[in-house]
Amino acid sequence: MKLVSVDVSELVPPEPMTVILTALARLNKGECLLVAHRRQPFPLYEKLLQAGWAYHCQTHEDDNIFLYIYRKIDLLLFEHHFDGKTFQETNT
Amino acid sequence: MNISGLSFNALPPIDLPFRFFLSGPLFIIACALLVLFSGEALWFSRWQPNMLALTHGFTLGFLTMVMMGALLQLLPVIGGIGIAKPRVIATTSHALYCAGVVALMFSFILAHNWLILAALILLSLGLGLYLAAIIWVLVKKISQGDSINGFRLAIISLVIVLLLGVFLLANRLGFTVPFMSIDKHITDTHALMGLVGWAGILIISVSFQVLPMFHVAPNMPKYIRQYLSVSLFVLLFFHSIYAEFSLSLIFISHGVFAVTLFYVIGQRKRKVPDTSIKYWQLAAATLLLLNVLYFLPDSFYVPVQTPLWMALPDKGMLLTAIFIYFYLVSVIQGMLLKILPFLSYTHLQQRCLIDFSAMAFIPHMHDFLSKKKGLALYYMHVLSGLSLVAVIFEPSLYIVFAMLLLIEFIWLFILMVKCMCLYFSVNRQINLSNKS
Repeated sequence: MKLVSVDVSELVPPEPMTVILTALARLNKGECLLVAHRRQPFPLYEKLLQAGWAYHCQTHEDDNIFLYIYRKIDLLLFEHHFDGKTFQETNT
Repeated sequence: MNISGLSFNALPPIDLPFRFFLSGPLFIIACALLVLFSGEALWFSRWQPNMLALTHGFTLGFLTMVMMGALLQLLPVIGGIGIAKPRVIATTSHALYCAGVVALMFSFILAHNWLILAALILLSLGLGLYLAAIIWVLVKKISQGDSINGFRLAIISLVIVLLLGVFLLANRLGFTVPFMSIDKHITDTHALMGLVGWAGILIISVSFQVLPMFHVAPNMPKYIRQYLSVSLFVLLFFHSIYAEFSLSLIFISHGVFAVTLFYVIGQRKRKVPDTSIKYWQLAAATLLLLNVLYFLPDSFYVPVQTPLWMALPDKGMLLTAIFIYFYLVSVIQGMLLKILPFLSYTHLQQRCLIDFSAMAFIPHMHDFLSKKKGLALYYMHVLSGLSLVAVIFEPSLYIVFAMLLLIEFIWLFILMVKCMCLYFSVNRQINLSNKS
């Protein structure tokens, strides 16, 4: 699984969402989007699930989180590459 | 995944907060008409019936109304969870609450018992229902955090304000409680709990989130986030015993908050011109000015002793008016300028997760509320605020204040309606494109 990263931590709303949407629109099958953000985008979560995406949020500090977003059908693939702490990227 | 159909962490439908926001300016427009038709006598004392109607029009009709709508959105964004059954609760509580505020304002002006009873019942039910829903979230479901703890204290304050308000209204109807008597302390506590406990602590708690989020400012210092709201809340309780001492500390605490606001705003990474920031700066400067006015020797307020060319007017009225208009109303207006376009934009954006091509329909965020129009509102607000201060010095100027107030809040109402119309027209476009 390939990782595509975006950093929205220094953007003002609604730019983070615009960046995330644009990145998701371009995300190929089998790829995972990694979003670096200052806070958890709570209201986005349910909308992601409704639209067929899955996510995993890693909270590092108060104002530093990593959000992994991938297609629900890629769940097994994501779990294969992510051990709960680190993501092992492959290009295959 | 959400199987039950209840959407707790999603934003509530946009029309729910918007109905609270749209109602706010209408109450101030009513207040402006009240000022216009009440004449000079309105400004002679805080106990004038029309003055009581005016202060409740501002505090309940505008400030609390907008804050109720904003909390519906803020809880899911900050705490990750919103109220249950948002449509039923927001619609019912909003309708009851609006009717209750109208009845309360008329009950002060006309002093009919049935109006007092109507206000008592409608406000208790409307605010009670809303509070029950919010308290359910704050007690049971939500994550911890400095802002959330502040929300809890603000909500407790609002419960106390409501209970004291019910007690005061019941007393006007002839019902008395054996262990409580009506005196100035009760009304002072009612007013202080409302202005400092409910509105003040909520604004302070919201600022911890809003400044870093919308303006990429650094977080407020940890000791401010942890202790400011709690200190204010404790001081409010001490007020009934050590009135002057605790009031002094309440002013100083707000002064500390003002200095922190200036510091945090100055440390922003992207110092783009922003009207909401101007509102925050105006609010902070107001808090510092209030400290000066509060700690001035009493002689400044006495005609024969004042070292100035004229004595300052009634201290209580002057300080309260400035606190409400230049601090509370300023912050709320600044927040509205930020969240009206943002909410419209973000609700539409979320629809694009299902169909990315819909992104093409969404206009630029500033099309929902242009920067120039927001800036015009800011200058109108400063002007009407100055005219308010002028009226307290010279009540015969009331027509100027009424007209400026009218213009400002009609303008705010137009901005809100335009923003909503654009939202619904884009939403319709997206619906049509999904169907085709």
